[in-house]
Amino acid sequence: MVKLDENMIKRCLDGDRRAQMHLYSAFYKRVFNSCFRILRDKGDAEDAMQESFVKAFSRLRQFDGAVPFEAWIVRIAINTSIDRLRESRLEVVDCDETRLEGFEDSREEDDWEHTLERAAQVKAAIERLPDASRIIVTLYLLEGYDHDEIAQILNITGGTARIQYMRAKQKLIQLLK
Amino acid sequence: MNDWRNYIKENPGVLDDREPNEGHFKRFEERLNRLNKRELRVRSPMTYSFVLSIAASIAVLVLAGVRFFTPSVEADNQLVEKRMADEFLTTDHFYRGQMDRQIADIQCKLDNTDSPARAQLERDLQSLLDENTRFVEKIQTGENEELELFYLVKHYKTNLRALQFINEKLGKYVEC
Repeated sequence: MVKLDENMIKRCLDGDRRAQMHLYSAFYKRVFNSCFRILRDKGDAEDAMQESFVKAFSRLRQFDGAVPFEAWIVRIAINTSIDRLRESRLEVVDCDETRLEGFEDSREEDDWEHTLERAAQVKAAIERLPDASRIIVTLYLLEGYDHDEIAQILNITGGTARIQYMRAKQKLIQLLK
Repeated sequence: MNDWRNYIKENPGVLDDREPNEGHFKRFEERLNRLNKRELRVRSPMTYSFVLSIAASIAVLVLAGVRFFTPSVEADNQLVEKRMADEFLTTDHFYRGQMDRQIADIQCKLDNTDSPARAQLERDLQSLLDENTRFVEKIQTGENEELELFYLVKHYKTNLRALQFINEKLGKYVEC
């Protein structure tokens, strides 16, 4: 992870263009890829990425260093991307949490040990998932959020996040067979 | 699953293999330039006619909500045992979240202005929220859940389109 020069934050806050472009240069790829995984379109992802940087610059006063800057701006980017996707088509609706029953995870560890060796295939399979499933899997597996954080991002309950993830993972495993 | 997540955590670059289209640095710099120009306009107060048009948009929304669905007198007078269907609740929660985000954005823009009409606009936004709450409460008669859900979604989508319009209009004058 790229470390942030503390002085750079102050310079960005002062509107120092060079400092802002330096930050952009340091983190654009990470942010862009997070946006692309959600939006699946280079133009939209670039737009969301740049909008996220602008938001980050305007909120720099709120950045207290509790999390790394990269994690902070990626979170902004993910929220921006999901909002954008929601405007067009994404619907992640809460569902009955009792539907957790019947989902078996007993063979999950065997599946995932093989998966480690097939990073490229997994990534390709994730890209083939429908939007809602892809978002959930991306947020959990690729971006590293836990179910409660995902619930917050998607404005659903924690139980629904778990159910949606399990369903999405099953679809993913089917695609990988 | 945890092994996979840890693998990604320890090898973040393995997934970040895409690049934006060529020229993105220049486009970002141009975006910052446009942003700086807009910031210069923030200090000029909103014109009275602009404020009137925003207030009118909010008023239309409030009226539309009232006229859009008026339950029957019988429904009003019935002793209603309101069974809150899960789907209705979660749909309401979902769209309410979107409305809250739009309103928070609008509020942020209003916070960055010193227009004397700001207080009126904030009161109007509160009226909108109150009307929304009343509408959601009134619509839950339990008589026809499918129809209630249909009207709920329609109501929220109308509100969201209008709030987005207000947000974009304010965005021409104020950045947040």
